[in-house]
Order: sequence, then structure tokens, then C-alpha cells
Amino acid sequence: MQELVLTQPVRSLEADSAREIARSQKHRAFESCLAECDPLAFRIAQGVLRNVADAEDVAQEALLRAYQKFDRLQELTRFRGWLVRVTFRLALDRWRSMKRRERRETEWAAPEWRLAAPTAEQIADSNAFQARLEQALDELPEKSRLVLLLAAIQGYTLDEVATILGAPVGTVKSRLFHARKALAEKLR
Amino acid sequence: MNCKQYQEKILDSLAAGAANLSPEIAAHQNSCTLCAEFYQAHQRLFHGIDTGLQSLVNQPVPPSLLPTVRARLDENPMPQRAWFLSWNPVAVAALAILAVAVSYALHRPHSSVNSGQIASTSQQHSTTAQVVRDKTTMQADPKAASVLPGTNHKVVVAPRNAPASSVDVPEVIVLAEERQAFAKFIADAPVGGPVVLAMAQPANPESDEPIDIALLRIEPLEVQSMDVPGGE
Repeated sequence: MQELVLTQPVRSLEADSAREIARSQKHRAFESCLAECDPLAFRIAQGVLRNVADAEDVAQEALLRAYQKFDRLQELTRFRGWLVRVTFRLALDRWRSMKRRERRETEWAAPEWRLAAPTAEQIADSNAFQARLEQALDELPEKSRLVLLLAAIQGYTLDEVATILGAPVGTVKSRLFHARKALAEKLR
Repeated sequence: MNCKQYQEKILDSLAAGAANLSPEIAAHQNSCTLCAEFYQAHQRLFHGIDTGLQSLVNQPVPPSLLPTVRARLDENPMPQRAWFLSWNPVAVAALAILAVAVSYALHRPHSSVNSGQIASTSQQHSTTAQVVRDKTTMQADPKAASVLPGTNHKVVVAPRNAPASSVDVPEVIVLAEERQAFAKFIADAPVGGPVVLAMAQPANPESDEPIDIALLRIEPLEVQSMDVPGGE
């Protein structure tokens, strides 16, 4: 004698709830990363753009992108490096478009004069030093810029910068040395 | 070393962030006022660079940043990953290779099948061959045709048990041991010649009746004597 048993369809609520649990776990993981890394994103953007409103905007955009791609991240330890790269790239894009706009707007009145080269001591003492430093920073290669900004962020050691960049500490030291020297030579 | 080289060393040392100069450079700058001034000026310069960079990046984070990001995150929920992206890439690759292999096996050319059948039927001492003069007359699968060397003649080998409907072209039954000679015969036969045409064209069913072949008759021969009359 045969006994027939009627069963529910395979696609059940259990699968949906498991998916929902996984999603909420990822959301929690991202939240913890967010609390840790939002100052980092802002500071990198601020270092490139030197404008609080723009830096905040870029940091938001970078964090949102990181959230949307968070599912693809295999290791949470790489989140900081990933976020730094995204932020730096977005900030550079915005900085370039700002420069282009500035150039278009002031093209007709571009001053041809240059300041007489002051001594290193005068430069360091002058009020214009920060502006010249920022200009010199803009002229550096991207890798040098990023390593200088990361190393200048309070609380970040060279080891941490190396972890963020995914490079050996020796490489970071070397990049930092060349970046600082290049900056000093531009400011001399 | 001259002063220029010392100054270069001083610059390197400051750029590397060394706390103190090496004893050699320190001794030189103690005795050389020019290098001592250079050192002090550049020490201030590097200090200015460090201070400037730190003031640039260590701005207080706006308190609105985190709440705004959270609000935007709520507006844009985490996207669901496509079901196939959650698979192991190795498993996906293996499945793709398997699918390609199965597809190839199902759609592979018939010639390979037929060549296998040739080998099997050769042991049965006969092979069914079809002679096709050109592509217009060839109605069987063109992939199954093989071109005889040096000619444009094609011999299509069909399996013995192929259904009659699938083979509409005339057939020539060739014994396995005679197949090579038959192929040579086809190759050597003039294109459009009566022999080959007769083989390639189907027989008219009306005229295709058994022919009575008369038995061979041997006429009685007259054997003449070799002796020449009156020779000896």
C-alpha cells in the first residue's frame, strides 16, 4: 500500500529569512567599519581637496560606494586600504575637475608674474608657506601624495600606512623619503 | 667631501626623518657655518612641511558626515549579489567547461562517427559507399563526404544500417579489400565520363529489371595441323 505525502514547495520562507539574516550581518559589519573609517575617508579627501564641504561630499560618496561593493570584499582587514583608494581616486577626480573649471574661469587674467625665490627660512616663516606647500603637494605624483597624506594623519604609524597601502614598510619608507625630499626641493 | 656633498647628506637625513645627523656630518657642520646654517634652515623647512601636512589632513571631521552617510545607506540598501556570483568561481568554470564538452559531443561532425563506422564495418568485409560527382548532386551530409586525392570526386560512406530515406544517392557496394582499388578507379575515371555518371545516377526503376545473361558458349575450334603438307 502506497502512502502519499504532500510537501511544501522548496522555495520557502526559510531561505528568505536566511538571506535576510546574512544581509543584516553584513550591514552590522559595515557599520563597525564605518564608525572606524569615516574620519580616514574624510581626511584623505580633505588632504587632496582642502575644502571641508567638498571633502565631506567625497567621503560620503566613497563610503556609499564601499557599502554597495561591501559584499565583494573577501577580508574585512582590507577594508581600510580599499576605502582609502576609493576616496583618493574620487577626491583626485573632483580636484582635477575643479582645477579645469578654475583654469577656464581665470584664463583671461592669468598672471604671468612669479615671486622672487625666497630662502627656505623665509618660506617656512611666511604666511604664504601653506599655500605653497599645497601647490607643491599638488605637483607630486599620486603615490607620493597619498603616502604623505596618510603618514601625516594623526595616529597612523608607518606600519599602519603600509597595511593600508598593501605594501611593505620598506617601500612606504622609501616613498615617504622621496616625497618629502621632492617637496622640500620644490619649496626651497 | 665638500660642502655641497655634505648639504646633500643633510637633506637626505632630514627627508628620512632622522632624529640626529650622523657623527661625520655633525662634526662638519660644527666647523662649517655655511653647512650649519643650511641644516638649521632646512630643519625649519621640514618642520614646516610636517606641520603644514598635519594641519591639512587632521581637520576635525564634520559631525554631519556619519548621520548623512547612514541616511544615504538607508536609502540605498545593500544590493543583493547575483545568485551565480555567490558561487565558487572554480565551480562555475568547471560547469562551463562541462557544458562546452557536452555541447561539442552532441554537435560534433558526422565524419568522425562515420570513420569509426568504417573501421567497424571493414571487419564485415563490405562497406557501403556512395559516389557523388559534385556538391550539387550530393544530398547526403556534406561533412560525411571525403574527397579523393587529386580529383573532385567524393565518396560518401554511409553506415550499412542507415535508413533508406536518409540516403537518396545511388550506392555502390564495395568489398573492404577492394575499397582502395575502387577509390583509385574513381580518382582515375574521367570527370563526366559515362562509367562514373552511370554509377552516380540512380537507375531508372522502369528499366531496372533483371537482365538475363546468356550462358557462355564456347564455339568448337578448328585445330589445324602445324605440319606443312609436303615438308619432309
